[in-house]
Amino acid sequence: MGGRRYSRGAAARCLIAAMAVLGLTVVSGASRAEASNGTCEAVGSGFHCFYNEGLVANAQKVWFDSPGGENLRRWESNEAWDYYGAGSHIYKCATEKRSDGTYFTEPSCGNFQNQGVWFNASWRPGWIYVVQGSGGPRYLDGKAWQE
Amino acid sequence: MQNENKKGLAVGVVGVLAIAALAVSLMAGSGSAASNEELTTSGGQSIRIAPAGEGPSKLAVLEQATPAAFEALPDGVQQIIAQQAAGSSDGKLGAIGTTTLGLGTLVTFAEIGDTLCFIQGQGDPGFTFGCSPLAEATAGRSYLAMPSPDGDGMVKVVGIAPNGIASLRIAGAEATEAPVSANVWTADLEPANTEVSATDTSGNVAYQFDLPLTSISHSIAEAG
Repeated sequence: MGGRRYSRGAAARCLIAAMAVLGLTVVSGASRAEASNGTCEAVGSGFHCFYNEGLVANAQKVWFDSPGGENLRRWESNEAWDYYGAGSHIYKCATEKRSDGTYFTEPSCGNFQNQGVWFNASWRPGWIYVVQGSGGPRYLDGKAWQE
Repeated sequence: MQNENKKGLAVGVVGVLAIAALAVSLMAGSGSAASNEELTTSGGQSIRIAPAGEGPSKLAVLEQATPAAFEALPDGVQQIIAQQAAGSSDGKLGAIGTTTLGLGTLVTFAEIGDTLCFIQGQGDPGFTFGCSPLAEATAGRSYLAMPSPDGDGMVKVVGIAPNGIASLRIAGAEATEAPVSANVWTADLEPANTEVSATDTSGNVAYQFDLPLTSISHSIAEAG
């Protein structure tokens, strides 16, 4: 009848396209999993969270990113840590971006082993990040407490 | 006979001394137990106060921590101390010191185990802090830097100075002299890399360190 017929070549192209779509989906899922860098554990009535724990380029902001994508949280505090030892701690900062798009007005920067900031309740919830300014890539950890 | 009397006297003296030593030891022990107190912050976190004598005070501003001194601190400062204690191997608060900067900004020193935390702020929008091993933090090269929220490009720096340091001289196009008060110095600086020299009470340079304020100060509060 008037039914449409597909050639072998068309079927093969269709199959390749389907495989490409499937492959892209798998790859994008894998890269998203790698991008997630934050985990939390319950401590008392709140949560202690850890993120990044790896090399970071100079001035690159590293945001807390949980596998579930629930990153807008009621953070109590956020800290940037390095373990380079006495006299070698890098210049680094920890701070937050609030859900209305404004940035925390007093980010904590400096050269202590851990640089931290505690947020007044009016600054919760928000997204948190750490950043370092040593001039080159350095290891940097993020630690935070959530209500 | 005389020898036996002497022996008896000696034994008696030793016995009295031993009892006295035991009494002193017991009194000291009971005092420590009384001050080894666990407190709870308004945020529900707990903190233990170290017994007297366990908090070595390397800075004149530090004093033995007491429940009353801890409870007098703002809620946010209490929570920072409790969080740091929870993350350390020896979570006891040994010593506290406070002073104020201009515009009512509170500066708090907290000795937690073998770590010193340095906390500053007014509570709104929050507090900024830094913690380092005690020996490092009390050596005088540790500082907090807060890019100005006014957007004027300046950076407010607040640092720790050990006992015996009178002022810090910050190099630059216009050199700045920052006096030390209660182990704290502060200065409003251009976001430039510069060198700091600490001068002792005799006018000698005690130590120097770099202040790398350029790299991320401007970008910290920008989108991206």
